[in-house]
Amino acid sequence: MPFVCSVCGYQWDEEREGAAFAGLPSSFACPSCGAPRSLFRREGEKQSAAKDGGLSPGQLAALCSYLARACGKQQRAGESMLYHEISRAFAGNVPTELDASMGRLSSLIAEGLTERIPAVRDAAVQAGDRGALRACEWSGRVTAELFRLLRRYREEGGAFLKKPVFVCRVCGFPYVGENAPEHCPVCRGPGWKFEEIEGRGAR
Amino acid sequence: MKRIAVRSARLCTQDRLCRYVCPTGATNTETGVIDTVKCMGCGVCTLACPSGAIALIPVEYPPQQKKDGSVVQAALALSALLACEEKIAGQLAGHAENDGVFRLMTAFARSLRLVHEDVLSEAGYLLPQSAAVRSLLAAWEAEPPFPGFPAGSARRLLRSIRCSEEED
Repeated sequence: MPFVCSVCGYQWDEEREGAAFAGLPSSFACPSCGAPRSLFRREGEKQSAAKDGGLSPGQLAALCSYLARACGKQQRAGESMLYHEISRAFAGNVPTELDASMGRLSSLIAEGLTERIPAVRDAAVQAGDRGALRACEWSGRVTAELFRLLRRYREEGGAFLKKPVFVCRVCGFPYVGENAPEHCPVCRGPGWKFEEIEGRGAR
Repeated sequence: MKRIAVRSARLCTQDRLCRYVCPTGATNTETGVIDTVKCMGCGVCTLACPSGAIALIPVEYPPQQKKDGSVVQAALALSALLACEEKIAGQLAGHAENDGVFRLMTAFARSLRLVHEDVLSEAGYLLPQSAAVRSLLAAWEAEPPFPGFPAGSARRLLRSIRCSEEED
C-alpha cells in the first residue's frame, strides 16, 4: 500500500521508487510539493489524531483566516486581528509547489469535482448533515466555474480578461464581466458583496 | 443572556434615534461602531431604529453541532486538495506574464481560499469557541509549529475566548 502526501497527493510507491518509505531520512520532503515527511500517511489511513489535527500549513492558514472572519462577525476585532496574524504566519510557511502549472491546477480542480466533493456529499447525506451538504453545493458550483474559466483561458487565450474580474466575498464565485451580477448565482448574496480583483498596476 | 448591539453601516440612515435612547452612550461614537464595552445589551436602540440597522448579538454561544467522523474525514481530504490548489494559483499569479493572467490567478486564489474556509467551517471548526479550535491553540502555545510563529498571539486567543463545549 503506497504512502501518500497529505498535502498534494503524491504517492510513494515503494516498488516503483526502489526504496522503503520507512527507510527515508527525516529530512525527506515530498518530491512534488516539498511537504515534510511527517505529512505522509498510508493510503486509506484516517486523518491523524494528533492534537494539532495533522493539518498542513496551507490548511491552517485557511482555517485561521476563517476564524478571523468569524471573530469579526462576533464583534471581536482584537481576536480577529490575532487570527489574521497567525494565518499569515502559516501562509508564509507553505512549501513552494514544484509543479505549479495551469495543467496541474486544472486536473486538481477536476479531481475535486469528480471525487473529493462527491465524497463529502455522500458522507453528509448519510449523516443528515445539511450544513456540510450546503458547503458541497457551494464549493461544487464555485469550482465548476473556476474549471470553466481556466479551460476558456487555456483554449481561447486572455482576450476575455480585458474585462474586470470579480469574486463573491461570501462563497468565492468568480465572475468576469463589466459589472458584478445583482445577486451571486451560487449563494444568493447581494451584488455589493462582489469584490473586484485589482491589477498589478503599471509595469 | 448578555447581548451587544451592532450597527450595520450600510443600512444606517443617520436618523439618530439610537443615540437618543441609549442609556450608556454606547451608540454614540466617532467611528460609527457601537462601543461594546459600554453597551449593556438593553436592546432599546434595536427597537428604536427606523431602518432596522441594529442587531442584538449574543456574547456567548452554544456548543457547536457535533460532526460525523466520516464527514470530517472527507472534508479534510477536500481541504488538503484546496490548500494545494490555492498555492498553485498564488504562484501562477506571481509569475503572471500579463495583467489579465495576474487578475485571473489572484481571483482563483481568493476564490479557493473562500471555498476552503467554508469547507473547514463544516469540518468541526465552525466556532472560535469550539473545543477543536482551542485544542489547536493549546498545541501551538505548547509547541510553536515553526520558528517565528506568533505563540504569544495563540496564548492571548486562548485566554480571551472561552470554550463553549466540554473539552477532552
